[in-house]
Amino acid sequence: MRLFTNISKEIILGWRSHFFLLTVMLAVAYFLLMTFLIPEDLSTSTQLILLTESEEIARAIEASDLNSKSSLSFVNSRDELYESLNRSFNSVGVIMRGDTASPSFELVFQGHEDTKTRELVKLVVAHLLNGSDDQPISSNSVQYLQGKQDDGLDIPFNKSFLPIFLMFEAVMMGMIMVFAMVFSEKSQKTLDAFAVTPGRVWEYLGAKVIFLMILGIVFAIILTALTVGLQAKYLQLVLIVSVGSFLSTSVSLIAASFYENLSQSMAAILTLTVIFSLPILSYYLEGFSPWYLRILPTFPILFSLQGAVFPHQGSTDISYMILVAVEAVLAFVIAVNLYKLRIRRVRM
Amino acid sequence: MRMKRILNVFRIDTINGVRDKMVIYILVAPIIFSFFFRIIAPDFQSLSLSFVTLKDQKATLEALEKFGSVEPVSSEAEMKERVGRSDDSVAIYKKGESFNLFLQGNESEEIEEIAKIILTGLQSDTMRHIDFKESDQGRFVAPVTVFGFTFVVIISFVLGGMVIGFNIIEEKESGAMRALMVTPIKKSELILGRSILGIIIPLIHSFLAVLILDLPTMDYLKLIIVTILSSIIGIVVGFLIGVISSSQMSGIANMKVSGWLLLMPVILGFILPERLHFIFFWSPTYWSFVVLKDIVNRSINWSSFAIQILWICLTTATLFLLMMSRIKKGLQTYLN
Repeated sequence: MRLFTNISKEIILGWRSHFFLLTVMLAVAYFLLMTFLIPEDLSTSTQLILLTESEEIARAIEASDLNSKSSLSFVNSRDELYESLNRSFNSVGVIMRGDTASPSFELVFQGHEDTKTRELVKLVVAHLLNGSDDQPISSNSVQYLQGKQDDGLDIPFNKSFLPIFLMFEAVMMGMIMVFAMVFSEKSQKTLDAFAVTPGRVWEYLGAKVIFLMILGIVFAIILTALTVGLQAKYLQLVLIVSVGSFLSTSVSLIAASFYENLSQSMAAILTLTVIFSLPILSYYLEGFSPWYLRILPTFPILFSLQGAVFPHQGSTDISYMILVAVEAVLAFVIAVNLYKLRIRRVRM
Repeated sequence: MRMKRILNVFRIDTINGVRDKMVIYILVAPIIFSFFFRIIAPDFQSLSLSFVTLKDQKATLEALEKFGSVEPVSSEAEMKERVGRSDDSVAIYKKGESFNLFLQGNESEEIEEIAKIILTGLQSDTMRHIDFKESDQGRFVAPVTVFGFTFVVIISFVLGGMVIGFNIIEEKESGAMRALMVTPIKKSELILGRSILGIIIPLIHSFLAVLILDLPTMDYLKLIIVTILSSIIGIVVGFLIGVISSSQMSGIANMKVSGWLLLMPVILGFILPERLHFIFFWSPTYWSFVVLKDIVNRSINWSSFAIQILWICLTTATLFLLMMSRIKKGLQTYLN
């Protein structure tokens, strides 16, 4: 009962501080950003820029289906090639010379590519040029664990930001807010006053965690509904946001217990936010998932969010969320004990 | 305006900052970011394909290692379990005389296409007749390092501005403002004194980031100019947050909105193609990002540098003019 009273106190205070209004405004702002600012169709993969310095090869390319490949673009001069390479850091130039019987190729890299990338680019170029000469892959050689996803169901580039915004604002909303709440109450000595009431520390902190969870859910539902409508799995989404928000707020509660004011904790807030945001790198660079990103709790959260808002992308195993929930409970227990310790120190 | 008073404000802010460890935290955080970008840069530099293959297939393992990282597993069941995890690892292995590809099914078209090309390459020895010459554009700094460097410098002055803002809010809340109002210090002296830290810290960070991220051919003069000018953005926003926020809670809300406006152009500027960058021309942090990026890539001469610096000044001045009445009004209750 005391927990509910504390939650309603937090909701009233949050309402007065315009937190709900800010949440709705942020959700709408993110929707507008995704819809009007970020292009729907944008490839972030390596682009090949082709320059043919031989008439014969140019004619052969015109006759082939290379012109229709979206990852290829054609230029007419070296100046144009270098200009295009300067404009895009993930592009590679291919200069073709000689004749069709004995062509020669020069690959113009940016300079920062490593050996593996260079080898892969060479293979891709060789494959494009060999065309039908290569032995085709039989359908039996390719297997899918969950069945092949329909190509037409690819997520548009702008909407692919949805899981990221959900993680930033819905899951990690508590990270910054809880610092402000804790320090504001620290300066008013609310926790010390609370200590002489029959209320328990876990009820006091739990109310903050639940309030921020509610804000996160409100944000998630509004932004998801505006962006993908009824396509999303809302129950799963609410569950992921709740667990994720519980974890991030509890971790922030631990961090906030070591500081006296908001200015002092600014670097800690920022560091925590950046560390928790790192799995975004894996989200955008498919295949880039080193162990130091995989161990972050936000890694399964981000990919589970993707599965919940884009269910047609294949089912995402949300069993990893159980581990996140365990981590969240653990973080909350540590936070409660740290605050108990602080009260004891004040009393002494 | 007396220089002694300005330096006194700076000295007191520094002493207070060091005493409650605030300055130390602010100094350390961007350094940690720099180290982080240094660590991830090699992984990030590659096209980053992750393969899974069977441990006993040494030739396949070696062939795949040419193109990406390979995780050997002991059985097909383990391979399926590994591919089924949330990251994008694809399995390529030999079964009988032919190679097989095993995918989760939700990979992007690009990953699937590249995996198939590698499969074809292994089967047909695609590169056997082709001889490639290689050259490069001389951009040896990896994009992630470029981004990391610009991010560290920009986050440093944004953080500096936020601290100025929250110092003002705390002084308002604690009543220290009232004490300051009865001293002979002028508004301009206090603003200048308080801003020094917001300029010095980004300068230290930009030099340290150059060392940590190993950018030896840096044009230091250009770097100093752009860092000092960009710091003004953080200071203006910091003062604005300080004077318009009545409490730390509203300060956080204002910080969230302003942080979003300052950092979003930098992040999107890195992701979006150049033809769409006009959307961010209003943002001073975007211009700081562009100049810092070009300095690291050594692709900027003095005339282009001057034009881009002009853009930073124009956008910051516009921002300041738009906010001036609000800052002035706020400062009237702050100091006369």
